[in-house]
Amino acid sequence: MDKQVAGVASAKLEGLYEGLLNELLQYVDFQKLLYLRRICWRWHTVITSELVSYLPYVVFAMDLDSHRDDDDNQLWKLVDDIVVLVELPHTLLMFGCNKTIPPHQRLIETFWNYYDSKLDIYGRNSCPIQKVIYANTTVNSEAFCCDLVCQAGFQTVLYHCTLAFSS
Amino acid sequence: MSTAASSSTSETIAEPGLKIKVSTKEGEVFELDEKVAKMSQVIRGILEDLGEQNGGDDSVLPLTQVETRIFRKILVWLKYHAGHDKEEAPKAEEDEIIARFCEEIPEWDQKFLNVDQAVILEIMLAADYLDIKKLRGLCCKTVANILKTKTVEQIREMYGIENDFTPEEEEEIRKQTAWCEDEPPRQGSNH
Repeated sequence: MDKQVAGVASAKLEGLYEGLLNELLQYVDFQKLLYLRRICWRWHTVITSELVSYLPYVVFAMDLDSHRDDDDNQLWKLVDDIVVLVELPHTLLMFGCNKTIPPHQRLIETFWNYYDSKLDIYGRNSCPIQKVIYANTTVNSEAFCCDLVCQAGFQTVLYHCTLAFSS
Repeated sequence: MSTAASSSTSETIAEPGLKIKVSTKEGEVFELDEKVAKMSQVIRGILEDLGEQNGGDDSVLPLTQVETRIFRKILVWLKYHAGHDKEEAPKAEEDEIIARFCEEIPEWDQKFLNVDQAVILEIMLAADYLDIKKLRGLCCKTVANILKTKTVEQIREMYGIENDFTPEEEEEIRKQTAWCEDEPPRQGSNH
């Protein structure tokens, strides 16, 4: 038996009230979070109901054609320096290069398109972004099925988000 | 950097001043420096309600949900952080989110929380009860880090969670997110 498993037989995570369990789950990477819905009905309910998307900014961008004009190329130059992206309802913050993209959906979409194309060129293991954090929004889980999220390798964190599942 | 989490804290707080008495679930009384005590928002709130002048008398604040053995551990954490943490100005929401999710657990706290997971959960619950946000967050992050490496079956076993899905329900849920359960496909670098 796994040593950690053996050592915690008496640990009762079921005893955590919903708010605390939800806080704990906020630290779990998004893909793992979806996986954890299989633990039991309680976890399924907490994860499904407590975690939602302004992901349209990001997700739908992947379905759009890129438009690489000069402004967009300037934006693309930022990518190499970015370690963490934080998506807030009105802003995309790029930590590492101290840049903020204003609430201009096309730019954000373009950014992600370029990021995807860069990975195509240099390989998925070249992913410079280590973490993407979504905060105060609704996240559509199916949006994460795209190749970019699955293959790029960055960690996705949801904070005060609600997770939406299509039926 | 300090050495072992349990041995380096007693000397870190030497500030004279107001002492706050609290009692644990078992009735054991501890005398805390005001600064240490007020790291718990619950204790801070009680003191403010009572009027701070009462903190120096013989009043004892009952912490009825916290066992002595857990409180001793929390006290170690409180004393260390009271002595080492800098006063911080309130952060903007973005900064707080970054700090919360991007900062690694400091080495001292990693050692402090390098205990049986049952104990981590007890510390987490006590930190929640006492409203010590930072400690609660560290516990949550530590447990989450453990969850990340475990399978559904292992997590159920670790934490005594009953699988209350029917096989059909479990299969249906698995299908919804089957894409995320496999190792992400890796493509070779082209450089």
